[in-house]
Amino acid sequence: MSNRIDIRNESDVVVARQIARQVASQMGFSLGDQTRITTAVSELARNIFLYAKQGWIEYQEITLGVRGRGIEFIFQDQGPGIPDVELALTVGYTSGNGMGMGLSGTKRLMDEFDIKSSPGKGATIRIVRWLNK
Amino acid sequence: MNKSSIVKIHNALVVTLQGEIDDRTALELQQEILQSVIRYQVSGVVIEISQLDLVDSYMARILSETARMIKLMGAETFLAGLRPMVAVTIVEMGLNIDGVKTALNLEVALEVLKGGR
Ligand SMILES: Nc1ncnc2c1ncn2[C@@H]1O[C@H](COP(=O)(O)OP(=O)(O)O)[C@@H](O)[C@H]1O
Ligand SMILES: [Mg+2]
Repeated sequence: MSNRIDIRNESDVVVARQIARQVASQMGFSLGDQTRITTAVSELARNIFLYAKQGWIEYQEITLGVRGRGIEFIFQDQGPGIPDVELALTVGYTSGNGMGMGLSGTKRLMDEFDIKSSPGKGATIRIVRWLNK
Repeated sequence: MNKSSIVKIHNALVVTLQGEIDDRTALELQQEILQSVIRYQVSGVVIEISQLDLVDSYMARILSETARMIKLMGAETFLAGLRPMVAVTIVEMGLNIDGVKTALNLEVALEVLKGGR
C-alpha cells in the first residue's frame, strides 16, 4: 500500500521533505538516517519541479527477507527524461544552474538508487534506505 | 513556513535561518541579507543555522554564494551552528561549501568577528 505526494510547485518540495522526515522518524530511523532520507527526497523532488515541471512521489515501507524493513520512495515524472543517465550522475554536471550534485549525492546517501528513463517519456527514480545496516 | 530573522548585534548582522525555507524564499533571504549589510554598514555577518534540519545542494549553493557576495562587498561571513547530522550529510554527499568560514555557534562567531580577524 503506497502513499502519494504530488509535486506541482516549489512548496510541494517542502511538503515532501516534511512527510519524508515524519515517516522516517515513525519507522525508527536514526537522526542521521532521517537527515539522509529527507535530504535525498528534497533533491529528487526539486529535480521533478525543475526539470519536468510536475510529477509525483510514491512511498512505502518495504520488507525484504535478509534486509528487513526499509523505506522506498519512487519519484516519477513525464518530463523530458534523462537522455544520458551516466552524465546526469557525474559530479558537477548540471543542465541548469545547480551544483550538479543532487543525483550523485543522493546515490551516496541511500542504500539503493536506480534511474529508469526513456527520452521524451519522463524519469522514474527509486531510492531505498534499510532500517538495519 | 519561513521564520528567519535578521538583526544587528554590535557590528555584525545576525541572520537566523529557521522554519521551512523553499528555494524562492532562500533567494529572497539572500537579497535581504545583502541589502542589510549595506543598510546597517556591518563588517561581519553570522548566518546561524542550528534550526535547519537539512542543507541540500541548493541550500549549500545559496549559502556559499551568499558568503562570496558578502566578501565582495567587503564584509566577512560566518556560518554558525551547523547540526552534526547536517554536517555528516553534507560531507557524505560531497557538497562543497569550502571558502565559507564556520563557527561552532553564534557566540564563537561574534567573538571572532569582534577580535577583528
Ligand atoms: N527528473 C528529471 N528529468 C529530467 N532531467 C533531470 C531530472 N533530474 C535530473 N535531471 C538532469 O540531471 C542533471 C543533474 O541533476 P542533479 O544532480 O540534481 O544536479 P542539478 O539539479 O544541480 O543540475 C540535471 O541538471 C538535469 O539535466
Ligand atoms: Mg538537482
